[in-house]
Amino acid sequence: MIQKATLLSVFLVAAMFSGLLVGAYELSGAKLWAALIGPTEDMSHFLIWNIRIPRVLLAATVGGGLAISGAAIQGLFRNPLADPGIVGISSGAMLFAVLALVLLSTTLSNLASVFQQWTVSTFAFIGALLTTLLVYKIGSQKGKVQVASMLLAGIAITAFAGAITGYLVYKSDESQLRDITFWTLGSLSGDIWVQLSIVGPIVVIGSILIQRDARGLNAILLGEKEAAYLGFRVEKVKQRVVVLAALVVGACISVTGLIGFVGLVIPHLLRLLWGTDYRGLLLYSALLGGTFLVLADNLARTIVAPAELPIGILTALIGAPFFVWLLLRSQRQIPML
Amino acid sequence: MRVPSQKANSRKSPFSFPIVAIAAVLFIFQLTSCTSEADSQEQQAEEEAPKAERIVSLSGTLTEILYALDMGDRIVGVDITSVYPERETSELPKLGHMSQLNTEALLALEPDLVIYEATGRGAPEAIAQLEQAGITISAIQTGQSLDNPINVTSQLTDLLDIDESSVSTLQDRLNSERETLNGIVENVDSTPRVLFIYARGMGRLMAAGNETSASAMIELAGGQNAITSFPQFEALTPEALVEAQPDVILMFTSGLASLDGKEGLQQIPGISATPAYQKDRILTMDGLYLTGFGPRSTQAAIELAEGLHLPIEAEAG
Repeated sequence: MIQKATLLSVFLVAAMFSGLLVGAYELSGAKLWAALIGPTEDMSHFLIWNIRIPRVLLAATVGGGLAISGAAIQGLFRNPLADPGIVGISSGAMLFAVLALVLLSTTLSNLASVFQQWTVSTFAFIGALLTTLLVYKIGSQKGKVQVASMLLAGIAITAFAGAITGYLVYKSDESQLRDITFWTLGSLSGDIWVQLSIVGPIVVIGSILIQRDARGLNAILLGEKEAAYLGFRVEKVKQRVVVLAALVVGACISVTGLIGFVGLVIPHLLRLLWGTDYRGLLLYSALLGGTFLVLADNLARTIVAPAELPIGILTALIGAPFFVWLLLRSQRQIPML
Repeated sequence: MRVPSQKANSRKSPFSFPIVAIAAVLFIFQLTSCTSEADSQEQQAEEEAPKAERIVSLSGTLTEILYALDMGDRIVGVDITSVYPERETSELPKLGHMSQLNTEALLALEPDLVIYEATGRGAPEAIAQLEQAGITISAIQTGQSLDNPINVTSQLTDLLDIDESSVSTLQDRLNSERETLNGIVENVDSTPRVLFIYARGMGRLMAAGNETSASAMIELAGGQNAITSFPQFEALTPEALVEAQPDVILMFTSGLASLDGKEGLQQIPGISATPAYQKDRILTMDGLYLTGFGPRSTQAAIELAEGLHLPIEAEAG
């Protein structure tokens, strides 16, 4: 397992270095080094330290956070189709972000621009947590979390939030609509150091805590009763995983907008390759998810330069065909979970 | 289903090392970045900004005004809404939409002035980033009036060494066009009800309220906005369409094209009950031309006024 983790770490570091090298602003290796170690006459020092480095770190953090949460949620629900969206995280974040975007262009339009972006992020984060809490409450009876009813509650809440979002979209004008569309496609641009200083700790600490429940998730694979017989406090594991996943994913998408595919498919890709053992799978997912998003963002920044492609388009565009190829190539029986 | 073995229970979590390492690196980067930001801001404050030579314009209207002031050759990059003058703007690097700026690509153009319109949903964070980079960024105040090009020009003269003769040429042209417009509007006794429909395919039809730029142009051209019950854009319903009783329907050329022309227009529920449709009074104009309030806005108002009034007079005569 150490070898696999090392291999994936090497990939991640390599991807992050490639992220430093590519971009619309041309920088040779030597110039890059000079800009890294000290101030330069041109923009390159600013560019490296305020745009490329934080952006690569943000991509790695968000990709890792989305993938590890996806893996944990799939394990918890014993459902290969589960992703953090299934407990209402994405739909809640979406509803509140859209609400913020609509409010900003009407009642809150006098707010300074710095606060405007933060309003959207804060709203999205609160929305993610609120809907998850609601789904969790509906799904738990007498202090016990019923995974099946939580799943169904998640679907219901998602539909309900979707309806209100739909109404807001229907009422919104062209510029609001454009903001909403871009938000649902995700973006890693913005005042990144500030974003990173908030998202980074949440994702890193949350991921470490999720990793600590890896053995519990392994046991839940057998069934909840069986896990309890093995000595795991199943209710506690379920509580922790849901809350942590909501925190991590909520923090990620509150600054980037919706980025699909990573949380759903990165864990499956690793299951196909190396099987389902959450002690390794969670860690691998974090590393590969980070690598994947860094590489996707490299493309997003350069492919239509000097403009920029929303990253959510690229994650699915590159990821899905690769995943299908892997499915077709896979000789052994596919482990659903 | 694969059942993992329990033998490795005592093994330490493999997560700690890489994550802690990343966290540490992240923290160090954070510290260093703060100091570099402070440096660049100090440098910026020291010297007065010189007159700009390399301009990035993030608004179609501002781009058009710069060209009208013979400043076009200093523009090094524009946003996606800058489409006029067509040939010149098509040759410039397009930076996408204002809300999705690629900061790095913008810096690569090495601008010494970035201008954008102050209206709308504020500046995106990319603007704050550019300010940190020490680039002069100016939010230009704009308004829905035919004086807009002149008001913008006076703001631009603080940032650019615009030739005075270019300014007076523009001013003279606008003045004489204004007289033509007044001549048309003063000599009509009817104020037709005009409904502006914004269309992006059948699924997205919106009516312009009475505080939109389309409504402002309709009033400048001597018409009245058929909608008085809401200020901004609202989805177009068949009942609202019938209630508005528009004499003329006004659309962007691209909007009518998205409905497959006038053939497609008849599929809008309720439209056949309007006087405008029955008398075939459907006007189309280019979006930036009609609602941009740039240097061609008075021409656009004249064209709209002629479209609104002249056929009626011809009918009456």
